[in-house]
Amino acid sequence: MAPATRLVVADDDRDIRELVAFKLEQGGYQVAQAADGVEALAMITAERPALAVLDVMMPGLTGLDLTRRLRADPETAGLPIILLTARAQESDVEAGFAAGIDDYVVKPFSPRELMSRVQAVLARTGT
Amino acid sequence: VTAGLGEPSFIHDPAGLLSISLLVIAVVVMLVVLVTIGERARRRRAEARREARVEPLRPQLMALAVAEDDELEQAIAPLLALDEPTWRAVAPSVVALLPKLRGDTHDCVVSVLTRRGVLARAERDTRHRSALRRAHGAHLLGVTGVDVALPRLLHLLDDEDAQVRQIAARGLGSFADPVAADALLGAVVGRRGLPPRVVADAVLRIGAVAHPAIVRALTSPEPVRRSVAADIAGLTGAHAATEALIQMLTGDPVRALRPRAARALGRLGMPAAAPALRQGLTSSDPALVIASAEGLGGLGDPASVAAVADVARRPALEVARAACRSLTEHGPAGMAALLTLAVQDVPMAHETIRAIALREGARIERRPAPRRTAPRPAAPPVPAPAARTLDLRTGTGAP
Repeated sequence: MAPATRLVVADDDRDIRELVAFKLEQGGYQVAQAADGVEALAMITAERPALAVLDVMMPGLTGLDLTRRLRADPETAGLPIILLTARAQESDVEAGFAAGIDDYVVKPFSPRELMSRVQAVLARTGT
Repeated sequence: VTAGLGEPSFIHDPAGLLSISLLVIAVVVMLVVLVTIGERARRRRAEARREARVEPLRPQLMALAVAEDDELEQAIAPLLALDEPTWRAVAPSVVALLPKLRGDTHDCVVSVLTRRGVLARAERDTRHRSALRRAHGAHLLGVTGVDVALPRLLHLLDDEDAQVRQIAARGLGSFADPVAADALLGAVVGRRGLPPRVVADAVLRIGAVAHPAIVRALTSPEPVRRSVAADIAGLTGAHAATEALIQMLTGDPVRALRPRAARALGRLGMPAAAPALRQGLTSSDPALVIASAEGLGGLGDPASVAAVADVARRPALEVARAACRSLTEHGPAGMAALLTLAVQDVPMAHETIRAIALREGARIERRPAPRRTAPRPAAPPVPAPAARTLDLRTGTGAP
């Protein structure tokens, strides 16, 4: 049996983090959870996931800062990233794409839609 | 401590009276501090106990929040079966999920709250004497977004308590209903008027359904309503508001509102607004000139480049700076005009080009080196330099 695809979910809101992880695990993915940007960076560097779902507003390192860091590192530059953004922060989406995200999901979100986007990004990036 | 007929001696001694008063105040303050600390500790312990009780049920909560179609009833059943004390502990966690979800899963969570009687209690709470209870009820009804809650929340927009009014307004933002948008935009005026920011946030959350209400509010006799509507029109992409915004830009009786209309038109990006925005550049009001330049930048219309470049030559620094920034958003024609201005030693053109150079430099430094598998193709021939070129690092002209 092939090993499950590993993903990282980073959000300081426990409900959101666990919701996303729960849904993705239902879909057969192996999910690691980080409560802030710094923890997420360490996790991504260590675990080399196939994709990361990052919240914009996180303590320590925001999702946008984290994206820039990951894109600047040749080892993680190709990591597919989906940004979770609040509806009021849609201006962050533009900054997100400039930083190098692959897609975004607006909160409040539908878990089903998130799953579709994860699958689509993974298919598009061939990871 | 007594003197004569048994009166305390400090009554006749101002210094002693002062000392006793200070002592009493110190004791009272100490008691208040101790009670506050004790109350906080009690609340923390109660919350910790509640969380400990909820923890084993979190997988069921998560299953509820991600349930799809045929899984819905199965996900709801365990929460409906909980005894009342356990449900009371879990209920806040269920409610906390609502603002984070939309679609079927949101409806699924609302269904649990309805069947457990939470919404009926919330509806009753909105009629309670206590403002705290009314606020709590309004919050619960707001996060559900169910149609039956709409009339109560509309009523609470006129509540005697300001906090309740604001919570009701935020709650109305969950309803994709034009009635909610009309009521919110109407609630910025009057003795119990809501803060414009609260209204703007709520209407923004309503989204495109609010566009007709926004257009109506733009022609309201109330300046504050027109002002909020103009801001929201641009942010929500209410293209239907273009004509009303042009009218506001060119002739609103409150001159301070005209720049808001210009910015909103820029955000909408409708080409029909270009003539009115160019007219705004000729205003004697610097705020309107700046906003019009910014608005034209949003449109990026090449036909406006010359007019904006003229503004960039003006001596007023803020006006010239806005015009130069606007040129950078006008595509190649705007950039060419900006370079021409720099060559002509227009100070703000230099500053703008320097800012671009710094930003681009930072971006290039952040960009990782591409992994190349094939040799780099030969670079195209470099065109001969112009008679006068620009140093993009300093933004200055070089002979």
